[in-house]
Amino acid sequence: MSNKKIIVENVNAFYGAKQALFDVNLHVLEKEVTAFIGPSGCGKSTFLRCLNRMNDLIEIFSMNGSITIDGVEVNSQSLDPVELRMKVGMVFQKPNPFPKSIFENVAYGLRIHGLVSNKKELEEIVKDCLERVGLLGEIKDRLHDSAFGLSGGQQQRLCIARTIAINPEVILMDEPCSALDPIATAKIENLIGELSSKYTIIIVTHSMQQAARVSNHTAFFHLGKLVEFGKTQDIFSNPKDKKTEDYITGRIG
Amino acid sequence: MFEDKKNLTKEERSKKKLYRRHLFEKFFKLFGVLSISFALIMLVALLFSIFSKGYTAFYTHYLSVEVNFSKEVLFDGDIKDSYTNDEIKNAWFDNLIVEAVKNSLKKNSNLDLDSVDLNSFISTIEVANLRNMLLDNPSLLNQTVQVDLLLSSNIDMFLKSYIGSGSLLNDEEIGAIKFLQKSGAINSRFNTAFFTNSDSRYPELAGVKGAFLGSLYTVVLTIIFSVIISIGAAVYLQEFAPKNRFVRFIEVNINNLAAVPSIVFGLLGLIVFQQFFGVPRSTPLLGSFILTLMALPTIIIASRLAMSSVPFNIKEAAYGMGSSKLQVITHHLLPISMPGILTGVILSISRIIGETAPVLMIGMVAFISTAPTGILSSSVVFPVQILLWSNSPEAGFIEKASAASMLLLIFLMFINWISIYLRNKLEVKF
Repeated sequence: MSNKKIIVENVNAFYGAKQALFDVNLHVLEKEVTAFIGPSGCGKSTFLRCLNRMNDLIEIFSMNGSITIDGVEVNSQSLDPVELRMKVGMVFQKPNPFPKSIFENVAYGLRIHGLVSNKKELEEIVKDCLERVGLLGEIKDRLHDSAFGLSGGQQQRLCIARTIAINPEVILMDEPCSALDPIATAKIENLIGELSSKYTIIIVTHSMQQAARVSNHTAFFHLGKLVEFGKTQDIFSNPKDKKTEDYITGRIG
Repeated sequence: MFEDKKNLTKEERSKKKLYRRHLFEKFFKLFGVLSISFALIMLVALLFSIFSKGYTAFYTHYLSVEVNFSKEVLFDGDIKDSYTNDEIKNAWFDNLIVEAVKNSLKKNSNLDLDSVDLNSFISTIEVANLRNMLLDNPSLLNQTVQVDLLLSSNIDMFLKSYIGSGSLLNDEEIGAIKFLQKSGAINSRFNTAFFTNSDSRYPELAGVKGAFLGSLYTVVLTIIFSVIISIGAAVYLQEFAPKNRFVRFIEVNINNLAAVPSIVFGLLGLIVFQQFFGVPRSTPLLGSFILTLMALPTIIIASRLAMSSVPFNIKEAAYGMGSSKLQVITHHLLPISMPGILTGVILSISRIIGETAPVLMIGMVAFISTAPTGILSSSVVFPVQILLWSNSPEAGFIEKASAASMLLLIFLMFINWISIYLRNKLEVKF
């Protein structure tokens, strides 16, 4: 049995006066894939962004309750969000590489956090990360070309490479395949499977099939509430809640 | 209101309407073509008037004569074997020039040389030139040398057939010039003095060097001050400032500042910078302070616009990687918005290069015949030099004013070209 990496207790979140999350309680196990599913606007992305405090960028956002990662309170004033995001990496819905070369995209995190001491080490780590996401073979000669020259799927894998370059413990993925075609999606899904041996991964997805394919645990959100949370196979084969059943059978959402 | 159309069917009505719609469209097109033509004609007229008046300033006329450094003329009969430098310095070189011109005219016996003001033919600078020539090489005494002497502006303008220039000369003088021209003694050359000299009381010696350097110092300082201050202000307002009433008040007033008449900035600069802080008057430093104030609002507005159009997902990606706020700004926000910021800089710089009113207020309008040696020496700026020259009665200065306008236009085109080049080069495509 794995350790509980993230423990969430009684989280309520607000955009101004509008409440987006109601009393969410769950835990995420270490080195497992946890999927958040639910219809649009159910608060799953909001919740994901609470985990690395990306919601700090939104001025009207506020939350209460407790989120701890390895026993450290995420929302405490003393925790530097910069430090937190080093530990909790994030991959976004739309591939968003920096307007720099492919190499620089991966090297960026290593540079700003001072994780490498010389150029040779930097090159090795960058190549290793690109190799791990299966990109190195495809773009070997274009390492210093603009990242915008890549296809959507390649860009998304580049974003994953960029995230694992700084060696986080947790990787948050916010619908990473929603802008990709089925082949690129399959590649990313395989990659998630491989990465789960080293990282704790949380993936938000619209596609229930995807959740069923890649995750060990699944949480179903509806209208800001966590409706059901459990082992993926239990949720899909034997949902306890009526709403979950309606959603996975396509009656709501 | 549809009574008169009552007997028309729907189709007929719509057909009629369609005809009217097309008619309006044609009118609108015609109006557009007329507007564009008007603008183009005005532009061509402007360029034509400046170029046709100004191009002659780039060449000037010289008179080729034989000069005899005769001791008799130079020392007014005081003939010795050798002379000290002081004696040579005080010798009568202007008489020497008059004699030389007279000699070249004597070949034409028809002219009444008494009524020709030979003194006014040659530029005063040649007295100094001949003096230096003799000081360098005293063995030239009593020798005859062939030299080219710069003609004075009046003669030069007559040779360039400038309107009205003949009225300053009498018939004998005109005859003398025509004779010299026919005998091939007058030649024209590129006017280097226009580029290497500063302002002068003599039109033939006046040049733009002082004004150019004055403008250059002022503009470079202005760019440095205004870019630093306005990028700081824009970044703070865009990224750090809380969104409250006070900040909105500041934002509105930055926009208002862009609309303040430039003379008001001049007044402000005079009172605050010159009288209160004691920055020396007429200097590029003081000028740049005032022009910085003028450039700020434009650059701040353009910079904020550029920064707000940086895609949010790039910022999100950077924060997600654990960048600090300053790293997001310096690594992503500023580089991506640089083309937009540059546009603002260029817009305001093109404006301040041609700005006259505020620099008049702080005394950058004086007659200054030496080029500025630094940011704290008195100088004029380009547009003020044009103003000074165009206010002078001499035809030679009017020509110089047009030529200086040409240079200013070319300078501005050059700066615009650089900006467009830089903008295209720095542009990030998404």
